[in-house]
Parts: sequence; C-alpha cells; structure tokens
Amino acid sequence: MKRNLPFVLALILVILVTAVEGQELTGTDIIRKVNDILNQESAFSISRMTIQTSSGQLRTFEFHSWARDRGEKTLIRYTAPSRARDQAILMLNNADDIWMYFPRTKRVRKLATHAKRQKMQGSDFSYEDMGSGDIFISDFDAIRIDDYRYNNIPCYRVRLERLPSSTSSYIKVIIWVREQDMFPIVIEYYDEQYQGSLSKQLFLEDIRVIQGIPTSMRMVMKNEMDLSETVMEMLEIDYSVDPGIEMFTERSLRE
Amino acid sequence: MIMRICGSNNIKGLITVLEKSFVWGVTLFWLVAIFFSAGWAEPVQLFGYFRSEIVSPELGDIDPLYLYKLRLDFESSLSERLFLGGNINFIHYRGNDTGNFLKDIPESIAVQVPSDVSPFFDYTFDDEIVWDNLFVKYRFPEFDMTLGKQQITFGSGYVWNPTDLFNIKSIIDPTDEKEGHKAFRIDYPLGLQRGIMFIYDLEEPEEEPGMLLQYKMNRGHFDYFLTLASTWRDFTDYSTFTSVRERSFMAGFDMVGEAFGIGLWFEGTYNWPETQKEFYEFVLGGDYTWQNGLYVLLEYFHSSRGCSGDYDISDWMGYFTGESKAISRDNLYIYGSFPVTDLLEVGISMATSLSDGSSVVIPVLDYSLYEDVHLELYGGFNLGSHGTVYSKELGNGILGRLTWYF
Repeated sequence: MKRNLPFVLALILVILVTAVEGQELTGTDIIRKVNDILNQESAFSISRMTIQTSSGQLRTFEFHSWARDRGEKTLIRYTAPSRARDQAILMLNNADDIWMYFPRTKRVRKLATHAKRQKMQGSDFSYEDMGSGDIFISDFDAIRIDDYRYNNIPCYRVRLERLPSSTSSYIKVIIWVREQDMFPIVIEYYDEQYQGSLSKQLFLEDIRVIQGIPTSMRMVMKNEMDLSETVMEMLEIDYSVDPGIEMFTERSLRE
Repeated sequence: MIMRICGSNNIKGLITVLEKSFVWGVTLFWLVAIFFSAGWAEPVQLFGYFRSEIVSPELGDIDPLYLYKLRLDFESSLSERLFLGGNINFIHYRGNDTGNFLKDIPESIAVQVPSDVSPFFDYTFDDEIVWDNLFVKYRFPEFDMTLGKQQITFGSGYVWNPTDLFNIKSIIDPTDEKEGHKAFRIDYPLGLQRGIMFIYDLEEPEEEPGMLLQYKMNRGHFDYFLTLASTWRDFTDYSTFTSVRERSFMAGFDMVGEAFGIGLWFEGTYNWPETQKEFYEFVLGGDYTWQNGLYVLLEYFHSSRGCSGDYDISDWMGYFTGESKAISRDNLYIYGSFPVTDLLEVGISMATSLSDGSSVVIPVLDYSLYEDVHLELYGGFNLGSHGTVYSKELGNGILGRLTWYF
C-alpha cells in the first residue's frame, strides 16, 4: 500500500484539479477552446453533402474548401453535380463579405450579409454555418449552463446569446462540448424567425484525430422545421496546407 | 438564331467570313495545342447538359416553338499555367420556328410600317451548331491573359447593365447564359482587393478596334468599378432602314455592397457617340433576404436614350436587336422568391415601364426533379393598355425548360 501511496495521491490530485478546473471554466473559456479546435489556422478539405428531403429524396454535392486565418477567410468550389460544377463562393471577414462565381456566365456577384441566411444549394446548412469563423466569440455572449451527459458522454453546455450588433440569423445557440477534449458534439440553433424556438441541430459524429486535431468526419444537420436533414461527410482533410492569401481573391474565385 | 432583318449585304457577308475564319483558327490552335501537349496534359474533362424547351408566346397556342439544345463543355489544363476551355452548342428547333417582329409589337406601331417592307421584319430560328465559347487562358504569375471567344460580363445590375457593351439580359431570366464574345483580355490584379481588366474586342474589324479598360477596388463592404470604353455602335432608323455605325466613348462607374443590412448597387454610364446625341444610363438596385428565406430584389433603370411613351418602330427594333437595353426611359423591376421545400423554389417578378405605366408579371417555378434533372417554368402576363411596352395585346405566354445535366 505504501508503495502505491504516491500514485494514489497523484491520481486524487489530478481528479481534484480536473474537477476544480471544470467548475471554474466559464462559458467564454469553453467557447474559446471550442473555437480553437474548430477553426484551425488553415485547412483544405474535400466534402460530400447529401441532402435528404422530408419526402425522402436525396441530392448530393461535392466540394473543395480552403480556409485560413482561423476560418475568417473561406473559399468553396463545387465539383459535383454537373449543374453546380465550378460554382464558387468566397467568404471574407467571417462571411460578412460574400462573392459568388457563376461559371457559365463567368459572372462574379457580391452578396450582402443577408445572403448568408440563404440555404447552401438548398441544404440545411446556410452560408453562415459554413464560413462564420469565430462568430461564436465575436457575435455572442457565452453563458455556461448545466452540464449534461450525451449518449453517456459527460458534456459541458454553453448557451450563446446573440449580441445586438451581430448580423447572425441565430438568436441563440446551445453547444454541447465533450469534457474529455473540448470537442463540440451537438450544436442547437434557435432562429429568430421561429420566435426563438429550436430550428436546427448539428450532430458532429465520427470524431477522429487528424494531424493531432480532433475532427468530425460526419456532420448531420437536422432541420426541425422542415423535417429534412443534410449529411456532410469529410472525404479528405489537411491542416498542414497553407493556401496563401492570394487564394482568397477574385482571381482565384474565377480560376 | 439568325435574324433576317434587312436581308443580306456584302458587309454582313464579310463579317460572317471573318467570324468563321476566327472560329476555325481558334479550333485549329486548340487541337494543335492538345496534340503537342497530350503527353503531359490533364485529360480533357467533358460535361454539359441537354435541354428541352417549349415556348408558347400565346397561352393555348397549338403550335408552340420547341428547342432542343445539347451543350458540351470541355476543359483541359495543358500545364500549370495554360488552360483551354469552351463549349459547343447543338441546337434544333421544331414547331413554330418563324415569325415577324411586327407581330411582336403593339398594332398601333406595326401599322405605321408600310406593308411592302413587312417581309424585312421576318425572322426564323434556324438549327445551328455553334462554338459558344472557345478560349485559351494563360496564367502569368502577375496576371491572366485570355484569348478567344469567352464570357465577358460587366456590371452590378441584375436585369440591366449599362456598362455591359456585349450582352443584353432577358427580363424573363436575367441569369441565363449568353453567347461568348471574341476578345483578347488581360486581368491584372493590383494586390488583393484591386485590379485592372483590359479587353481588346476581336469582333470589330481590325481598322476599327474596340477597347475597354476597367479598374476595380474594394473598400469596406463595397466593390467599386470604373470603366472606360471606346467601341463601335449601330444607330438604326427602322422606319427608313438607314443605319449609322460610329465610334462611341463610354465612361462608367458602378458600385455594389451593403448598407444597414440591405444589399445595394449602382451602375451608370455616360456615352459620347461621334455624331449621334450623347446619352446616359443608370441602374439603382437593392435586395434583402428575410429570416424565413424570402428574397426580394428591386431595380430601377433609367436611359436617357429610351422613349418616354410615344414609341415608334425604331424604339422596339432597337431593343430586339440589342442596340438599346430598354424601350422605355424609366423602368422598374421587382423580384421575389421563396424556397418552399429543399427542391422547390417559387418566385414572381414584375417589370414595369414607369414611362407608360404598363407592367408584365412573370411567375417562376424552379424544381429539382431528380439528382441531375431540373425543371423551370416561366409565365408572362402583360397587363398594360394598348400601345404600351407591356400591352395586353401582346398576349400571355409560357416558357417551360427541362434540363438534364451530365
């Protein structure tokens, strides 16, 4: 027993420190850690988006996406289906500036911030969901609420309340964050147009560690109002790429 | 579409020969380039669509016009910097593929045209195989250079673009694709948010070059464009069939961005033809998306060249042939759309001539039938009084479009 005493004491210390640390974490602390994980310095990904309508029909899109400056700049280019092929979206300043490129007319059109409320190719993801960068920090007040277990996983829960100056379409967001690695596994979106009731839920699944960074390889956005859902699968992801600042220009958009 | 308006003449014949030579020249270059670089070029990627379209200018018309279009696109990167692209269209018409412009305008104006010249206003939709776009693009480290038949679009306006000297949009579907324009183009970025574009128009004869220069910059939530152009314009009097073709200078400015959460844009030009009357045009527009997905767009277009109400045959024909962008001096366009489901979007637009008080209402339906099959339906209901731009006498029509993308 004496031989095990240092180990037992160390274990107790770790548990105590973790418990104290967990209690002391504020909503802002948790959201900052979440933001650090979700918005890496730069990233390139290939994704497949499958929309399932309330009538059970499926529509599939594939796209390449580049991001840098922790998601403040995002470029998305569709590769499939043929109808959407080469269409591209450039989002700067956390999607406050959006340009869309239409390949058949080679026209670039600047969209106002209200356009980020529009559905991305009819999916349950809006442009805001795709390119909002650190909006959870800049546009919301974070308040820690009761911890809960989700599928038996201990989670912190944080309620985000929109700041008056924000252009976000969500009045409130509740995030369930896995205690073990601060990775969010459920995000609930409350929409102004539905009098602040729950409009969408995002489930982050199949979480793998890619290049040392926890990454959800499958995200499911469930639309509680339309009863539709969109599944986003990560086919490829690379956090080591440096897209270069020139990637996020009109020249690159037209490429 | 080949419009047989004034019959053929030698100049038109020469232009046709030049056009054909150009198309064949670029085609030959393209094939040679692929041949010599086939070993290290990326495979040519093929895609496109097949479209069936029905156009009935009159509801209940038992003899509408049918259009079948196969668009084949191809792209290939011959190297990291050299890119080849284009598309060829195969178009076949069936049904009522002939018409006369005098039947497409109010009767009070058509009767002013002597009956013996009426055949000059005949038109026909002929089957065609056309290189819609065919270009070579080279990406230098500092700038891009594009040569060939290519899409050239200007302006922030949705329906009207005074700065766009190459395209006229349709009020029915302003986003529809247009045939490319033969040009030599340089896009030179000056940093991340600024740039210069230069265009040398290859569709003009060598001794009458058309040129265009545009400077673009971004500040805050706005993009700004300054455009200068020297091109050739046609001014045709269709009552006497006399046409003046002369050099015209254009200075244009446009901006697009947002204020107070509303998308806003302005686009204006001032034009100095050599002998014809100077004119100016501008567009002012705005749009907004509500939380529930309802999208509304409003655009006002003024052309000092437009007519304020007492139209003649030249006002109408100038619009049909693309010499002018609108018949009326003051025009308003309102559009609203709403995503009913993930697959179905409905919309309605209304174009109004503020000059004569007439309007046309255009309901729109856009439905994704299958993964790659898309259905679009457009209506057109003219509500104006006799003699106006959207006169009831012009009838009510529909356009149905079924497209399979591959």
